[in-house]
Amino acid sequence: MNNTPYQEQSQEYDHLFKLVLIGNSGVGKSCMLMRYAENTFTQNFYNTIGVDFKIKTINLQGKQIKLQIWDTAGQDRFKTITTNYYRGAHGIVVVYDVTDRLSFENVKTWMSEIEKYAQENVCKLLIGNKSDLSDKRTVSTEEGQQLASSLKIKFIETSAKNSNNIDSAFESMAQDVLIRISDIKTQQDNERRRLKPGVNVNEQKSSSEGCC
Amino acid sequence: MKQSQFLLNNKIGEQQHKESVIEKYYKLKKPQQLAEIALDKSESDSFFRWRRYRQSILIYFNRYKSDKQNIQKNQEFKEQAKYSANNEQFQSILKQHTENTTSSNKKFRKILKNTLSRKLLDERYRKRTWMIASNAIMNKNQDMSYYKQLKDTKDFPDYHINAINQDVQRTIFNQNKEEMSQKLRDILICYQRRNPVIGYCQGMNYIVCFLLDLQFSEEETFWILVQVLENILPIDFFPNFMLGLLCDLKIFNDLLKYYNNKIWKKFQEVQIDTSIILTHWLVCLFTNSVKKQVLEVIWDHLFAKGSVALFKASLLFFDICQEEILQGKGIEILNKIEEKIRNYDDCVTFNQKMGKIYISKKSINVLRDLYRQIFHLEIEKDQEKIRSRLRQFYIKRQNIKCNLEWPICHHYLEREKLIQEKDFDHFILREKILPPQITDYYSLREDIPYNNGHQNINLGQMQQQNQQFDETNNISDFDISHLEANKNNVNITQLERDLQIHEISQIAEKYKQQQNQNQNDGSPLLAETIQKEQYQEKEFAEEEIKENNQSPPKEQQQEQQQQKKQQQEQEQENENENINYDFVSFLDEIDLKFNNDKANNNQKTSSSLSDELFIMRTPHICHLKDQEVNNLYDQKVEQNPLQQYIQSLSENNGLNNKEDQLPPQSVQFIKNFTPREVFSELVFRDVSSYDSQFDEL
Repeated sequence: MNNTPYQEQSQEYDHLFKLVLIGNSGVGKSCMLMRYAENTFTQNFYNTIGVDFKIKTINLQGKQIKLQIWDTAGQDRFKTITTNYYRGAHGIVVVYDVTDRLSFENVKTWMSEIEKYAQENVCKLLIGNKSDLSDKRTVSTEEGQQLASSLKIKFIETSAKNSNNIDSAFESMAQDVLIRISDIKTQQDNERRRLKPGVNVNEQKSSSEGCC
Repeated sequence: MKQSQFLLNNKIGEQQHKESVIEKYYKLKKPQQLAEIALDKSESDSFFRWRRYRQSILIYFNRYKSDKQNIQKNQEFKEQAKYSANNEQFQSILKQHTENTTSSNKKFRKILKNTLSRKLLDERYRKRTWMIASNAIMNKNQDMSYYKQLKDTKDFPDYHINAINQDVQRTIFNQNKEEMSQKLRDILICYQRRNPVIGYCQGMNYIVCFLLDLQFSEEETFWILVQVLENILPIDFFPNFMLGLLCDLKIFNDLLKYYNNKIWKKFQEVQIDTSIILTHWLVCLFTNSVKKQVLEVIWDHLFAKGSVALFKASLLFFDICQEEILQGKGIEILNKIEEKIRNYDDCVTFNQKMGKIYISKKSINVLRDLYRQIFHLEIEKDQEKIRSRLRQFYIKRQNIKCNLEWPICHHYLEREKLIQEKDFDHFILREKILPPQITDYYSLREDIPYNNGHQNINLGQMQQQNQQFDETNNISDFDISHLEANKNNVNITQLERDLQIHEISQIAEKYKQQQNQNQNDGSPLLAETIQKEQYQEKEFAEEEIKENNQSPPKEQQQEQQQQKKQQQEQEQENENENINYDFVSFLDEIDLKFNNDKANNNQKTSSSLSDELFIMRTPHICHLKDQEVNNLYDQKVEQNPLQQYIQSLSENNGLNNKEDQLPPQSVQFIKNFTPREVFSELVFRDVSSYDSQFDEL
């Protein structure tokens, strides 16, 4: 997968962000995505095989942003296939199930997976899903918060059923990516100013690789 | 024609070079060398192209043929259609096969191919046809109790049970939801017991769901699943890191390039990978993404022609969506394809088109092998990186090859997590290629004294360990920690095994000391290692005796004494032959002993020896060498080998009621025995030594 946007399409929107949802099987990745992209919810959703994706365009700070959200299969053996999609991602969302202790403990392994396959400056977000099931909860909000702060990433609890925090989670992710990209752009601009005209073109290209 | 084109484009010298490469591949059989060359991209492109022409991997296009030929074909088709409407030959063979299930079904498949090329398969015959063509009916009739045995086994370490429970809930049936989902669950659990290497992969639930919706019985569905996963698809399609699937995704991309170049170019242009949509199709075998009528046609072809049918179907689907693809923009193309395929229901033309495409099965297998090696090389490179990272923590264990699907490894990982309290990185899973042997397990368990590599071990150490053992009510430290960690999912069988290993180690120690006394002091290192194996094998024999003779202690002592005497005699006989010792000769010896005992009509020793042999014959416990496992596979031991052996035993002894005559402990052992241990070694071998014969129907 390449991450450079298609030229014709670049007129329709200002930015194309690729987000990837990862986490154990059955934590509700697909449900979250369905809720966000189509605002629907089904109790027993089908299990994802390989990868799936949804597209949603949002308006952020006066800019049209197209979100391409990739939904991945949670089972271990699909990792060889799903890790291919980490590379081009701008943001990666790690999801765990508030009622499933094991999925919470596996967050670390998912993080190591990100370190291995994703770009260095990728935005990360930790989500504890199924917050509506307060009776069955085995992972407290504080624990999630603690883990997130130890990993130095943002944390949010959501519920795809009540659509609680779902929109805000994805939007905050998009905002992070936007900030990061604009940071990189300003850096590039600074570099370009330093460079004299007629300087080697290859260098400029290589510096712009990290952007989008 | 294409060869000449190719020759024009390439210098002769290059071709000669590549020929020599292929010679290397076939003659030297060093696939890694080849893979190294193929990995180099500039080489690989031309290399693959060259192979394609040579192996005629190019697909036949009917559209490139002249109009005259097409007209002729149409006429033929009409005639054939008449003929196949009430195909007596086909129906008679259907009957024959349901009656004589032992006969091979190659003939049947050929006829099925012919009928499919002319006409759709009649729905009335579909179920029976699938049962025969997939060989499932043969399996079912061969061992009626097999499925029940698997289902009734208790205390089995089901590692995929959580995933299965989760996915069963998520599978939607058309009718009888509760009953069907129970069946689905049973089948999936039984399958992961039968073959823990493939285990459970998401997507199987859809396959089983589809079969159950066609109203196959539970057992029939199980056997069809077995045949599809183990014989029709490449053997490495699902297990571990899904290498087979990755290869097929690559191969499909190549096929599309030659089948429909426009679409391929479009995908290159938009920079979309076809594998996004294809993984879903291939893993689920098109269930869940195609209408039922079309799906049935695909499966007809799957049984008739093997895994090539999947390529054909996916090529056709891309063909059907040509307009959408060419007009579409960006990644939305994939959504459009999915939608269109989901609503496509023209199964008659689909069947015709399926019949027209030709893909050479042999060349696909060659490609698969090649890609497999490339992936292996990449994975090895990856492993190297991982290893270097892990070296800091696990210096001793760099060369461990184990398979996480294997229960022992789970066990090991759990232990490792608890003891080291460090992140045991998940990607260790990638490191495994070979299924582990029991020796690996021992070498990891340093607390077991006899495998330390030192011949002389202090008796004091042993006694200390024994004391610990007694203090903790026969549960070692490790077992307790394991219990505490997994209070919910305690695997009793594993714990028992651990206890047994401890017991064995004690016996082994005594035995070793005896041997040390018998032998000369200056024994070479080689002999030592060989002896180690020898110990193990004998230990297991002793273990079995222990198991079976717990109730009468006097007999046990007597038998142990007898055994020791026999062993001593054996040692005296084999003093000089120890170096050339191997497993086969050991088995032969036992066979000889057994025959002698039979001649003496000594029933007691014969029964104990027979127990000995049960253990010896199962490759899990005493690892057979690779060759022997292969031989077993070639014999296609579909039945439980233990049962076969017992049958032969009882026949030899002239016993009619085998259950009455055999010692009661061993009968229980047989009943509780699940063939998982055998099959896990037989079904999955080292991927690099993968044999394409399993793929061919």
